[in-house]
Amino acid sequence: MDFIMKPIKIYVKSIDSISAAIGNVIKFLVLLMIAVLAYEAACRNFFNVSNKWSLEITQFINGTYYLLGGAYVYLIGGHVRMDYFYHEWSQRKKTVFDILTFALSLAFLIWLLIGGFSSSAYALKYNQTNYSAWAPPIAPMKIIATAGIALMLLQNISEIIKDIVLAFGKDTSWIKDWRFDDEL
Amino acid sequence: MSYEYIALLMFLTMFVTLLSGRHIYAVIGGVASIFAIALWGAGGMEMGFHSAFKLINWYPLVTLPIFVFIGYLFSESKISEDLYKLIHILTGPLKGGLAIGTICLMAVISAINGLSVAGMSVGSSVALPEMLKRNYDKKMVTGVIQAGSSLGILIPPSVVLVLYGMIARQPVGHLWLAGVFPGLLMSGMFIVYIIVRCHFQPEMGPVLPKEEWDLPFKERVKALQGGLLPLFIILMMSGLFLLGVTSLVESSAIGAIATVIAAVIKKRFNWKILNKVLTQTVSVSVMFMWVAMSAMAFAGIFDGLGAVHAIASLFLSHGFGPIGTIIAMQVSFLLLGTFLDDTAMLIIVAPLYIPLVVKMGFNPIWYGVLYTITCQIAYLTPPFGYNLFLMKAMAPKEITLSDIYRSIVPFILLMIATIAILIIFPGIATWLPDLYFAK
Repeated sequence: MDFIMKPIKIYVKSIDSISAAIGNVIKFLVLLMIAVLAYEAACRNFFNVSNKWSLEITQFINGTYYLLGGAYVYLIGGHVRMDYFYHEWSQRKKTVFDILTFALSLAFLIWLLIGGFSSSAYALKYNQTNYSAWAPPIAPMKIIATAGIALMLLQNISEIIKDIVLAFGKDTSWIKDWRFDDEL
Repeated sequence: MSYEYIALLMFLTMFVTLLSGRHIYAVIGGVASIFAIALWGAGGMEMGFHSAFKLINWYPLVTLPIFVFIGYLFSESKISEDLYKLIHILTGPLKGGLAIGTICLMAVISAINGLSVAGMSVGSSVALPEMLKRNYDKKMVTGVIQAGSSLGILIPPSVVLVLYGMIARQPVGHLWLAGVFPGLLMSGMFIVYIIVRCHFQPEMGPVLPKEEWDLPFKERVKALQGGLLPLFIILMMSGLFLLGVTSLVESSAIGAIATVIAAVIKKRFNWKILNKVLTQTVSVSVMFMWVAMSAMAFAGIFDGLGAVHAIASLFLSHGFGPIGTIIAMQVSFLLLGTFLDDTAMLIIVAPLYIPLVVKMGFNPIWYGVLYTITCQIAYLTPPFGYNLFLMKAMAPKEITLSDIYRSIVPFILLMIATIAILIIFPGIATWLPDLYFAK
């Protein structure tokens, strides 16, 4: 079994660490958005200058924030479930249902990913820009979005592996609990 | 198969699959992707990404993470404790005074943050122990905190109305102003209810002992300072926006900076707190955004099917009439709200109901308020209400889940009464935005 488990462990550990590392940077972006908005408000009111880039820059930061943050939030247990029944089930029953419904996650994320690839390729090929005064190229945002979706897909696979091992595996000691302890 | 039936099938598949406990974004998005490909094949392949990308281009959505940040930082800063002390002095002499004070506290907090979670955590960490210590009836205590905290999404700023604005394609500024008077009306009705109930049953909310509120002048002035920081945040955020100094989105950033300043003054701003608040913020905002993203994809397919038109004519041709349809919609919304998660509710129902309302000629700004109050009720209704479980988790052991269930009944009735009043007098919601934006 070891020759199967070893690459699986490496996969789970590396995806989890990548998601965590990205998440720990991403979570500061909300402060950056606040700074950009405050800077724009100050420029307009004190110096009577309006920066045509501020609106789109904030949107792009926000887009990066939630798309690249998706995998991290999964890792720390932030995505919600309709858990009226779910939270009362045993670990095994939960895992069985998670495996059964895993296709939904896959379908959604692969659907997004295919759209993301072709939309990014289009934007790169035709040098697509936003319809605005600033007219920034749109490809970087699309590529970031696609990368976030890809990471989310890899994280989903990591999570289902961990669920299966937790429910049916013998050695669960290598699985780290990343959940954010939210004591209010 | 005709389009109405496909639409119905989509909804049914989604509801049934939600019960499996799979993440909500994955269920909504998964069902959407399967139907898109089944209906349009290769032509439907890019729909999901395009709908998801639309979220990025909806500028007011930037306020979502910022308001979540404000909410968590505000509850970490413990500013509300000083505010509650001030309220003690003001409402202490009344029967049920602390309960009235809690509603006031919640209304103030609602003017600072856009979700109900911050209100809940402040309510159960600050107001709940104080009221229990003074022998308030436990059903009164939990009801007041839950109903009060739900005001967070009605009194501006409101994240729910930002999301509504996105789906209904309505200006968020109008929606926020429309929430002001209904929010005050509802708070007023809560207070009247507490006064009347405690008048007939004084044991529900005993008067505070005189030494707690009858303080010397100097102490009173000192307590008054507790109101300064919240006032500062509200003025910086909403005041500057109403004066036209900041735009709507900028006002959220200014509010965040004001909250940081307030936390620094309270010496509650350090690395540990910041890191915790940032983690909570990313968790809640990203969760919201992914559900919104999947719901946008779902709604995109609905648009493509032209299902709304079919459902609208179905209602109208069965003699419901416009008002009857609105009432039927709210009732069905509430029924769904009893067993669906409220985050999902908020976004799932919108793409179906909002175009219907517009089609029947109602003012979408007015319906935004109705929609938000219905969301408030959905937050509170058993068996599945986020607030109920949060309350159970935060309340002391002697409060059982059935206490919590029963405690909210009168408040839900008052909320339904508010909806009825708004249907009869739509001007309560529309007057302020009409006046302010008439220029």
